[in-house]
Amino acid sequence: MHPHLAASIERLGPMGRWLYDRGEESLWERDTRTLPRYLQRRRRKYRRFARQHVVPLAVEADRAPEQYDPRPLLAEAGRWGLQSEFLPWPVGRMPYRALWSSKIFAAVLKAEELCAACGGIGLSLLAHDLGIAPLLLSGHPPSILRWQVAINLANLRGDVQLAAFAITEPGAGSDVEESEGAGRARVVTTARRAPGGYVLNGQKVFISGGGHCDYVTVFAVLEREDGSRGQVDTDFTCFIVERGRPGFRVGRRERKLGQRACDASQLFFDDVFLPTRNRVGAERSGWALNRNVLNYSRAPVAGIALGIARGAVEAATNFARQTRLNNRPLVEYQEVQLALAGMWMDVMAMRGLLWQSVRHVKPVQGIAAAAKARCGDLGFRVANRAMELMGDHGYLAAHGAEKGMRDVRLNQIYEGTNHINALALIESLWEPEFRP
Amino acid sequence: MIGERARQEEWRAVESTLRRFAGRVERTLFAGEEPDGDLACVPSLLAELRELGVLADPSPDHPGHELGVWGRHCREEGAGLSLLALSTLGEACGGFAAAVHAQGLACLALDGEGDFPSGAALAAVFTPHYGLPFGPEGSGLRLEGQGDGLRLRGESHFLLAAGPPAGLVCFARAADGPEGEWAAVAVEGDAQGVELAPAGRRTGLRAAHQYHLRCEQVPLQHVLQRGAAAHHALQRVVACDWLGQAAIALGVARRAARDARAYAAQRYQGGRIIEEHASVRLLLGTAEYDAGLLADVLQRHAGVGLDSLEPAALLRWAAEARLAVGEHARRAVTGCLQVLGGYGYMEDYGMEKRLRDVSVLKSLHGAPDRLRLLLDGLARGEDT
Repeated sequence: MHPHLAASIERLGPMGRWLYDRGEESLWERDTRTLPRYLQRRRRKYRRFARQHVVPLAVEADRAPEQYDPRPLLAEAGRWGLQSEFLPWPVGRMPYRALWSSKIFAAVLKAEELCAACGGIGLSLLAHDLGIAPLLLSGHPPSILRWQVAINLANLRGDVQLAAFAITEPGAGSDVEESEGAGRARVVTTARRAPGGYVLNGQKVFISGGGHCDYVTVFAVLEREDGSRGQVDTDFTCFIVERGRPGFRVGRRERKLGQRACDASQLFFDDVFLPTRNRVGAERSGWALNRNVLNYSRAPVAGIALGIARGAVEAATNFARQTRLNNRPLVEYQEVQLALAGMWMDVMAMRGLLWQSVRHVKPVQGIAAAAKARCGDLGFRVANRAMELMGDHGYLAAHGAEKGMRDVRLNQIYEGTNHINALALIESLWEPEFRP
Repeated sequence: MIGERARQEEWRAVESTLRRFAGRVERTLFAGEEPDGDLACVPSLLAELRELGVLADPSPDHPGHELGVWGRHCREEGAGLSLLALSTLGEACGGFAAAVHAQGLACLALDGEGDFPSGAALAAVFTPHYGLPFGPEGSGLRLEGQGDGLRLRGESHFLLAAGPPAGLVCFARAADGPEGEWAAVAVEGDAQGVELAPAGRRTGLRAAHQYHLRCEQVPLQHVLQRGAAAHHALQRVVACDWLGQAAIALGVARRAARDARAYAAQRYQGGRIIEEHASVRLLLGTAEYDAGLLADVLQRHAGVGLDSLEPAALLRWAAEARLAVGEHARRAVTGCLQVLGGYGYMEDYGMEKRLRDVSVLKSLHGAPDRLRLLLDGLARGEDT
């Protein structure tokens, strides 16, 4: 604080001095203290985990993802309770407060902290939450008790049990995420009834964590009663497939621009027999289940973008503090301060939008979609601005800014492209806001 | 009229040759699965380009010296042919085009002087650790001593080259001249006191080489230029550097648009081909607008000899073209990547490489805000 301003504040009356903020804490601390205490504790825990366990691995995991084994880190995350946060004690580590308030605020905080350290490693941890989401959201007690509780307890013991979520197909990406296309989606993964269960055939692509998961929640079109082919919006059904099931295999791992520490794998299902108990929820409930998984997952995905953007801003800020131009630190130049301020404001806007979006007890489709899309766009803008501020250093791997750009670019694509999310907002709010 | 027609026919012939060669670059480099191409093929492709006379050459006896990218012809005929070559090669591979561009810049700086043999890979040296070379720190290099005791000292960064440079054309501030007097000198890449270190892994343009230079009392036999002549030469090299980057980015953006359009013509969503979807049409239309704008900026003085342009006008043109890379070429490429959805993000489809390449081009040898400040300075008549 400028000494003249400090002196002037002292000349205010007592109430005036009390009403004047003179704190010098970081923005992170200030934001944390606005949260309920149970979320404050979570946020600090996630940051501790990220600093201790994610930061040391980030550079190499991005440089050589095919050599990175995520399971040790995921086991540690399991022991910390990070893989079991959607059910409460004793079968999970969801805070009890979340039972009657936001279910995913903690997930959003987790996403930001993990991905500020590394977007790819963060995604590999969060992909598990996405994988088990259909179990809880099905509202089907056998699915929850038989599968989700068992997975949670195993992870809490440090016995890694990971799930992945499989919906995207080679010919159907956006189509399985929005209403208009769903009826005409060209899906190839089908299920037909068989004695004692179902037989699954098909293929999924770009499945985060698919390469090392122990379980995958798969959406398939269930054949109709008359034997005809079903369609996504009327016949989608969710199943859980264990690794090792005959006929289930993992195909190639895609080579991505960013978030490289997390695999995006092909999965193949060749006459995979699944007992009835492997069906998640009711037959043909999959379309609603899938859409609601997206409602719950889009905010954490926005949290990924926020974390990556924050990491880029921190890298640019550190660069500006340490680098000198004409014997002055860059951060003392007004044009640099203006650029940094713009980035910091974007990150604050992202956090404001995101935290507001998850204050609803149940995620609202349009609001979740808006947060996901806008945070993706702003994150990409921030990461690019960070690279530009750093000049030639920005595109060198050594400084971390270019990785942020590569990582956050995916946030404009997965979990529904931003155009799909924009249309999800329109669909969700059509009646109250847009109907002519 | 006849002369103009003959000139247009000559340009069409040149463009046709370049397009065929660019196709060859693409087929050779990307025959395998490496996202940035089989970089071991680059030297042989550069050698072929040199045979064609498109790669600039330090020897006045070689056709590339006159006709190559940033060859002697630019001084009287303008940058048009060089920009055409770089944008055409950029459609095939931004990194390969950057290697060709780097060789041309160094030969432009050399201007026929020096004793480098034909075929030698050269690098122009003019970028400091941060900022533009027009500030008090200059390029980071200083010339010290006099006569036989002339020495080069200091550090310069991010020099681009087609290969390990056999020679360096350095712009340095003369410590023994008037305050800020510039000098251009040539040194062997392996001269005593010269340390070249790879700049490190970067996000794009990987077919080109990049180094940091450290000079510790490097003895000099030959000063190419001093004073105003060296200053003008530096301004010319910096401007052509930015113009060349913009041309490469234009090529990258055009190719991205072409590929995105082809993809959109055969991908279905919601029962319709996606080229009919409003969201895709908006993305592709914006990419067309962005590429068109960048092309128009590059055309502005393309037919005016570099020697006929005032340094301030040349720098202004170049800075605006380079800024358009960040604002327009990058937006075009990222929009085209978005059209491909998840496939655009994967290495197999070539689009992510284009985003990486253009992400380097928007900041290479000049952060955008530095260029904006330069433009304001030029408008106010400040010396650069």
